[in-house]
Amino acid sequence: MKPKIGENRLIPWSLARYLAGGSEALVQLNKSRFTLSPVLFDDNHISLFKKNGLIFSDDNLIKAIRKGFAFPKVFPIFFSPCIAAESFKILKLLENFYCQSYASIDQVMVLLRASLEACAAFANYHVNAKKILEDESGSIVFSVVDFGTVGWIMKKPNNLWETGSGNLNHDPSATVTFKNLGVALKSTKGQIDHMVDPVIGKVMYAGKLPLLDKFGFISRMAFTQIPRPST
Amino acid sequence: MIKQPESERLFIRASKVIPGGIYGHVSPNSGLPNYFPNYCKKAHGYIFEDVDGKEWIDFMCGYGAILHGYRNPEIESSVKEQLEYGSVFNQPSENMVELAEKLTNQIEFADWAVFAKNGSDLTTWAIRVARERTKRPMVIKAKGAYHGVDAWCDPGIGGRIASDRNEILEFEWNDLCMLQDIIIKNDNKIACIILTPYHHPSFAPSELPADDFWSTVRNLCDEHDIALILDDVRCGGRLSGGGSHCYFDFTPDLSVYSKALGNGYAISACVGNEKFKDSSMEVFLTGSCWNDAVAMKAALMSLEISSRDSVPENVLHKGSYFCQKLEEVSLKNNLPLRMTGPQSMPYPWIEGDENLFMIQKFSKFCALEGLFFHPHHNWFISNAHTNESLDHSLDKAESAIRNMMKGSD
Repeated sequence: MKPKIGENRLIPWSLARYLAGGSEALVQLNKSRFTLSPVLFDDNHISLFKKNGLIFSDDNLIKAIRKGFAFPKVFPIFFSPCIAAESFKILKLLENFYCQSYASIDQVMVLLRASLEACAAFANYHVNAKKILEDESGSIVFSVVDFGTVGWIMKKPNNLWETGSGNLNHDPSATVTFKNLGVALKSTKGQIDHMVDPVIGKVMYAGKLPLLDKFGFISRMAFTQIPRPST
Repeated sequence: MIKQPESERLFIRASKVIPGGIYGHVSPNSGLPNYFPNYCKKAHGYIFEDVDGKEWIDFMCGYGAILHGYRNPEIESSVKEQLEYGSVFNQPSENMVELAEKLTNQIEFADWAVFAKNGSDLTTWAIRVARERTKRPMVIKAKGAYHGVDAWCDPGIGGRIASDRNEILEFEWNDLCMLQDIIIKNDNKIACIILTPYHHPSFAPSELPADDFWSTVRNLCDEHDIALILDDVRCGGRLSGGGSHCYFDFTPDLSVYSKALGNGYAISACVGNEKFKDSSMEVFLTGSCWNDAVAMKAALMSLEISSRDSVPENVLHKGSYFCQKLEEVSLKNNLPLRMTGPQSMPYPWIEGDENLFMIQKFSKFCALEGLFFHPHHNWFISNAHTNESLDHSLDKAESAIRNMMKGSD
């Protein structure tokens, strides 16, 4: 039977999507030629690239993010060493961006995309989150003053939420604009005060507020539950 | 953006000791942060002054709590008179008896009245009265309708468990087939249907009842022995002196009022017919300050002014003039603005603006002109608005629309 993303696997799956989102942004920024494509390997393991390369147990994937290291399954590395090496390289690049002390546009694009992807996993598979968003549709575009669009999330016709880093090819339903890169970076780490920061001009919201309210609630839910990478 | 140093300073102070700084419907995030002020200093008639000294022409009236204008002299004078005696005592005051008599005289179906402070206090109590009488658990409401802050109905997301709404069923406003299906599928389980006089959701145009809506709802309630509760908290006093059911020509079993009732002094009332009197006595109802003699005195005077000066008719008339002119001015400048719902409490909607960017922009340009036009909530016309103030506002609105269409900020 094909493994399913139930509530019990949502956290490791969101982490895998976080890494995949970050890797997609790295490709767009020409920092990498390879994107992670996580799949559920079995009922207790997640492979970061289809069914090859780095395969972690759910617990070890969480540990890898929390502590910075955990053992993957060994044999798949021997079967596809190149994929494993590329995957390691991506994880290292993401770690570097996460630990970078000054805010840069590349860092914001990579970490925002990663965070949006983790939130999308919640929006798609968390029972309450799905219910909260069931009547919503459209897209949210995130941008930084003087830098433009840094990421977006939208609901597809199949009712799943997907994310991206480039410009959207249609008008968004709502926009979130960060005052500067520092504020944008904080948002990628769940450090925005959603009630205070818009009022003091750090973040500006416009458009379909109910969608922003609901997505904001789900992103806070996700940030509370998903372990943070070690720094 | 509008520079508001004092408003910002206060907000930062607040955010250290009040979660989110300001919460609920008056949170700046629900309106236009950095355009609307965060704090108000004083108000009079149809004008309010923010803490930075800027004067605004008001079209929100304390989100509906003000009907006769801020600090109406007659109401303030009767309040002052009562304050000489006190506000909250160990026993209710004579004002409570007088207010109940006045409401039962004025609202033709009402045989009794009870009082609290907020709309929510009594919408929730009213459904419990309906449950007590019918011995049934379920409640039907319209999807997207606001009935208060309690767990069965609040529009927020947090702090809720699934069982909070296990007994709450929803239908789309005006979809009578859907309503009928729900009633049939849940035969002998529905205690009440609670509805506002017309549909006034946030972030969407207001929707009036279809021609046969209220008569059909009333008939369904009678056929299935379901209580019909009117949530007249927002509209009460703005459509008809006898309650908004008179405006739409139907009769509820229970009706809840608040907002305009005390013209800014916190009070709510629930009235009901004889059939529900015994049940009402079985459902506990109390609050330490709910017998507040001052708010009751304000309500008595507010009701007196409304009857004497035909206030509901006046605000409808003023609103009709204002809405028609505003639509004309907008169209002339290629902005397809439509004022929806009853004209004494219109909701602004721009055609093709489902994502709300245009209405937010419109409200920002109007804010620059000193007009307090909320982008996402229905506005309120008070009886303090004069023809001159409405004309002056229309001139300012036209200037705002021209600037907006030119793209200047």
